[in-house]
Amino acid sequence: MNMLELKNISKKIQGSSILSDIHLSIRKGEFITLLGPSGCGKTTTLRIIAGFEKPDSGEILLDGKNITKLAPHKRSTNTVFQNYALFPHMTVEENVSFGLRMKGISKKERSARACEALKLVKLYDMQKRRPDSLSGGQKQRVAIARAIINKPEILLLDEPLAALDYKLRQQMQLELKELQRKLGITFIFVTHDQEEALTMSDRIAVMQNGRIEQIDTPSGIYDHPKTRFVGDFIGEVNILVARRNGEAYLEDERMNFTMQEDSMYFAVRPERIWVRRTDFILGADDIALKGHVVEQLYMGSLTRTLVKVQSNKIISAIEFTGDTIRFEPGEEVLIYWAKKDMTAVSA
Amino acid sequence: MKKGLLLFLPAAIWLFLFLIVPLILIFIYSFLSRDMYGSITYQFTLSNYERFFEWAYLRIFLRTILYSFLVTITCLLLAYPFAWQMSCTPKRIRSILLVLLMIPFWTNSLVRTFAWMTLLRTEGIINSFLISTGIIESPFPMLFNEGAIMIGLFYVLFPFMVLPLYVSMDKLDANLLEAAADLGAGSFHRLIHITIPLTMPGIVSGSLIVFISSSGMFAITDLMGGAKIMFLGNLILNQFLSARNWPFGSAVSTILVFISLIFIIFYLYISRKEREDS
Repeated sequence: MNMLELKNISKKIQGSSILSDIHLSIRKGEFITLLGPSGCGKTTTLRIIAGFEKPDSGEILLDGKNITKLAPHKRSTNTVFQNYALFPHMTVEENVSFGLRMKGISKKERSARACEALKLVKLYDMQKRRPDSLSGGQKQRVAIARAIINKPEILLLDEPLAALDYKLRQQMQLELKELQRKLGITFIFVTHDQEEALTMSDRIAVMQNGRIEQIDTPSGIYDHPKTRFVGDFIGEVNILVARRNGEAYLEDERMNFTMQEDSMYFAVRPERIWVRRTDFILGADDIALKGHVVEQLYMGSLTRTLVKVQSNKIISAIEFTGDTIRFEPGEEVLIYWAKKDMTAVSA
Repeated sequence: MKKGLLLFLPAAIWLFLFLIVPLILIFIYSFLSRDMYGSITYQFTLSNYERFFEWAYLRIFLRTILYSFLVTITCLLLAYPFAWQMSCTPKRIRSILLVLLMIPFWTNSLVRTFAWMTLLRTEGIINSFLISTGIIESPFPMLFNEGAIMIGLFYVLFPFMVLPLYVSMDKLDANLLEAAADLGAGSFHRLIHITIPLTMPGIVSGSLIVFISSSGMFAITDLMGGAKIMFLGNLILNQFLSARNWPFGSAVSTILVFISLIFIIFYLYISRKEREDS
């Protein structure tokens, strides 16, 4: 069942379009990530859901009720802000229990529930500290505790891990995922970090220029990007150009498959490509191109081989170092991949 | 000597010669006596201070404190929303508003006070207008009373309240207000729990500036009050210039300085405690 629906949401700021025609349906208990480069509109989308910004057109339905015009303090969503936005003049406990205080809950119960929420985010004995005296990771935990104490229907997270160092970020990714499972709250997570999106999400909405390019599961997004942008933005991808000129040509090499259009683009992930000697015997469902090795780059467990094909495009292939055949630069090779690993993408 | 201290020296000398030394002199004078012609005689006495507690003078003191307090509260109540609005407007318009706020400073404050007098006088602009439109029949006494003094003080001191408030509001992170709204705080609760506590430094320093300035004013109280209503500033002026009782004038000045000092120490204590807390 869809708990949150965005319909036709558009937003302009000072004449320039920030969001155009956003459609998004979010299921209850789902961990959905809005992923995209900075300025793609992901944060604005989140702010519209929280109520900090009003869309120019379109509507937001929460549990079937139209909340488009509802003020933020009347919405059952809570936000974890990118810069934490902890109240500097309040202690950790006062910060965490602020939402309960606004609901008029007694001091004793507030204190008990704040303690509980802080335990959930693994922060102990910090109740009386001020936000200034906490580390980045601790502030992050306080911000999360403060947002979940109200038991919101939806938790909105605006790049919450962006300011943390790599190790801590990975740890927090796990903890957030665990927390989400434990609480069963719907999480809407905004990030520009594709790895983070792939690790944590049930579904990812990839955004660019105020539009949602693709919504799918992490593996759906990774294995079958719909557009060139999605393929490029998430992981590494080789974009191959195919033309139909009587026969099908892929990067200027004649192919024996049929094409529906005169010009198409295909995405192939580097790790799906094998580099073999020219006498290698291909399977029936394999697609191959001839080329010359430009360079082989040793990366520890993996080795990257760069191959220049007929059209002069350089294709990157990544294999396990143990499976990689050593080539000299300039040597003629065959690169191939399974047909199912090649996805047609729109430009 | 370190370079930093050397740069500090001209200002230090200036302050010492023209602030510290006169204050010390006034402090010393306040314990001296005067002869019947008004000259200082070097004889120690506490009578100047005793005299201050006579009802006639104590009343002036209480009146000064009361009106300074009222002016401070009025300034605060009106400047707070003003400064808030200012901090909410886009940067470009904001600088225009700041300039508009500062423009009155480019005119002499006495001239501005006279302008107020032409407005408020019995046969002044406001009264003539109200009479000619038939709203009132006889002129409404607006000048030479406590209300007029309040208006004069308020008008001159208002920007001094706006500026520190504006500075502290400008520093206020808008994200915090969003966070509060997100957690269920409506506009009233956001004001009470977030905006006011976090702009407290501005509230305290603005109030101090207005209160201390207001308690020492004499020109405006003289003109707007028609020299009928005495404030401490007028009392001091009289003792030095007309009554030629420098020791008593000095004693009143010393008391005023000490009251100001108490407020300033209070302010420093609060702001230091705030820094230690965070």
